[in-house]
Amino acid sequence: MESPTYTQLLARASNSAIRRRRPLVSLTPLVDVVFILLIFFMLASSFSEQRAVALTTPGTAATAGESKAVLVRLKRNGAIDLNGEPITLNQLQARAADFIQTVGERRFLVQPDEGVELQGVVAVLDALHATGIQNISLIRK
Amino acid sequence: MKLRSTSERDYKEPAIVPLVNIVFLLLIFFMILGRITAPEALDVTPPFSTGGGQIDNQRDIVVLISADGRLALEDAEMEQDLLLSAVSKSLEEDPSARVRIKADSSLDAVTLIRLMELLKETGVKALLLLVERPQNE
Repeated sequence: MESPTYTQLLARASNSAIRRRRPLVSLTPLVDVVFILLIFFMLASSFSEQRAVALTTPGTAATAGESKAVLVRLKRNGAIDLNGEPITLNQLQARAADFIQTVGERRFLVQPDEGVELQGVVAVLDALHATGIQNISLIRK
Repeated sequence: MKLRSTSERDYKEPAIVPLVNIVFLLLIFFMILGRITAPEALDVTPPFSTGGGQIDNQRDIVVLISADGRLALEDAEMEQDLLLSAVSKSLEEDPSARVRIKADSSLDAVTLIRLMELLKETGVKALLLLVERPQNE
């Protein structure tokens, strides 16, 4: 087979340049790096928005003034009672608001039973916070 | 012969540019919207809550408590007594320091209250519970 002449090579080169328009810098290493960065950010970043709720507990010593407080008890089976009156989580907000209007601002004590999950307690705290009650303490038996 | 080899090569290299465009968009999306956090000592899923305030930039003491009651301070898992003495030590340096508790959502609430009482006895003035905003709001 005869080797191609210079003009033939030139023609072939310009032909392929028009057809494929190869970039001067290869794209592939860039894509590799971008992929690695993408995977890093996908794995390392989180989209959850974290917030903080203030918690108070009277501690073991303080008992003064508790007779005037409102007691919200959480049972292990998910039942809630407000000063001994059984109530649902949806009713809690309205009942607590009523309570404040009739009796005035009170301290709320939230007392979960042994075995109640934290999520349930946070839901009750949310309902009370939504009513505008600021003075909430967590107590245990 | 030559014609066939060219068409074969064209077939093997599909257009890469649209792919790169999309990958770039994804990269920018994750870079801007994602928040990079260091891995924590314990696997803790905070409870969901619609309330709660923004976390300010104040330097808090972070206490983690997992669903089975294991404790960690900042990024080291430790026993309760050690943790309490470490907390009281950092309170000596900064008496107004708050303790931010990151508790698992399925933790027994009584365990948390017990921890809160112990922290309070140690001299902690303010306690915060870390919660997570529900995604579909």
